[in-house]
Amino acid sequence: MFGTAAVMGGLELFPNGEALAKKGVSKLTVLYTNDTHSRIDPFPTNDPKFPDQGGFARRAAAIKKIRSEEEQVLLLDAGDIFQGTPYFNMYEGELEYKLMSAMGYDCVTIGNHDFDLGMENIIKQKPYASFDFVNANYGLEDTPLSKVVKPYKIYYKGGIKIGVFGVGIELAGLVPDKLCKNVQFFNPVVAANDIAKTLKQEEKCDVVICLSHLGYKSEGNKPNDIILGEQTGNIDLIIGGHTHTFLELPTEKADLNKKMVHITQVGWAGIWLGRYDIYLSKNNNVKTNTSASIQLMERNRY
Amino acid sequence: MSFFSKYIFFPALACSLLFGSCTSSAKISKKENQHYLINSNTVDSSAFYTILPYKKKMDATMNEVIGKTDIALTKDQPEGVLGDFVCDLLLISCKKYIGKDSVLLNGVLLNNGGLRTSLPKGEITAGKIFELMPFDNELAFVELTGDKTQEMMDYLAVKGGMPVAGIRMEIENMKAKNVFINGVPFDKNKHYYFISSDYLINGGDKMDFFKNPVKTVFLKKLIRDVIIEYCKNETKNGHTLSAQTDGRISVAK
Repeated sequence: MFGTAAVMGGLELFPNGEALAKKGVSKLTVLYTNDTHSRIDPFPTNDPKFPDQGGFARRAAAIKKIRSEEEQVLLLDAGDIFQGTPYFNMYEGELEYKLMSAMGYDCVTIGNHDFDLGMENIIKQKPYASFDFVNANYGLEDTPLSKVVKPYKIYYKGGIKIGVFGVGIELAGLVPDKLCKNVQFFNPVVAANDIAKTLKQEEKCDVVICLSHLGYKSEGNKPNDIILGEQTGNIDLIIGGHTHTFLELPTEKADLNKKMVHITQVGWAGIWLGRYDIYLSKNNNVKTNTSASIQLMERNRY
Repeated sequence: MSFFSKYIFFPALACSLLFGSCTSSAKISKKENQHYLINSNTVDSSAFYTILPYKKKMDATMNEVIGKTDIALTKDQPEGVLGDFVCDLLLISCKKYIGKDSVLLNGVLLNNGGLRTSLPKGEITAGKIFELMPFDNELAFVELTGDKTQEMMDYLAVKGGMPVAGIRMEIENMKAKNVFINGVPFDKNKHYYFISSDYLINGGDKMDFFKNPVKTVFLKKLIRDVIIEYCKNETKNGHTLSAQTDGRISVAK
């Protein structure tokens, strides 16, 4: 679709923020996870699928390193922080929130498993969380979450204004009724379209990011990230979750305004940390490499 | 961490190639996407020391040996020794939580998907039972009509068997036949009483026969806790943890 994809090894195309600022360009580094599922420790070395991979303390080190190299970092999670190891059974999410706060997470959305000990448990663990919670398609007025979860949040990083909102999967059949009592479910595509329009056109956000716990694919005609990307406008990036999909490359979709939206997801369990750098220019005058619209760079361990 | 894929995108250019011109809102001039595989030995020491006390306490609990098996207990269909083990112990252990209706209890039904791992031969730790049953599913006691119980048997036959106790049946061409409940031939005119999990009774695994039951009592007791308690008791009484299949669900020859 985009013609040639060039593989470029080791070429430093992307200078750091300081060098860019001189040229009137600003850079935002978005780091993200999804479905970390209480995997505090790395998988054991004899794990058949993910030997010695993941781990919160390692992720914290990786994030710290990136923060030392980049000025404007936004750290996000697309839900299902809870459930999956005895850490959650014993401590009910306290440690997950504590560590994520120390890593400097800015914002998360709520996944279906975040309801596993009820909404009261999210409130109970909230004091350990210094980050924001967003969801735009659950009606939470009559639930304990009403004061904690907002449809969207706006962040300022350097001179960049970023709108972040969340959408969640239908809970009926996934989460026992008693754990999500009085949560009303609204169409996530409609909600996303409305909020993104508000963020881009009224709030004049430079970047609009959707944290989605709908899944990359879905059964039947249920909404998923692909549908979300195609049937909305004003979203720049969809960071997905729920289906534990490892997307090596972002999926590109033309949105309602025929503008490209990117969909990404980094599997689960904190095995990958995702990174998405966005370069913004006030005068839209950035020099780009004109030989190809997409370039793939492969590098090995550094 | 290793850095293994990088993707670079120039929206302004792509946009103009595809659609002729961009609107003024296209201020984003370039995007890159990449992923880090989290596998290095570099750990954040502050995070490490935050985790440490939680880990020590958790390991002490999870590494506690609560019993010993003399064979590996694994899942199988139509009948598996692990399913038999768990359902039989629930049938015995649940009565004290049911109260006066416990005399009515006929059987236990779980789902294969809910048993998340096998129990190996040898020492069993509490952590292993958490792996077996990571979700906080609670016990539920349910009264079903004969018709609904028939639907349960049909479901078992279509699914090729699920973990049960108190039930004997044969599966022939995905249909249930020769059904016995507590050793007595199944009678469609009677009501039957089962233990299952709140997850299944609330619609999990499409067990529709649990919809609109005559009566449901949620016992406010985690299935995992009941299993751990049973293992500890058996060990205290000098017993190994054991089970063997008895043909409770079989394929008709």
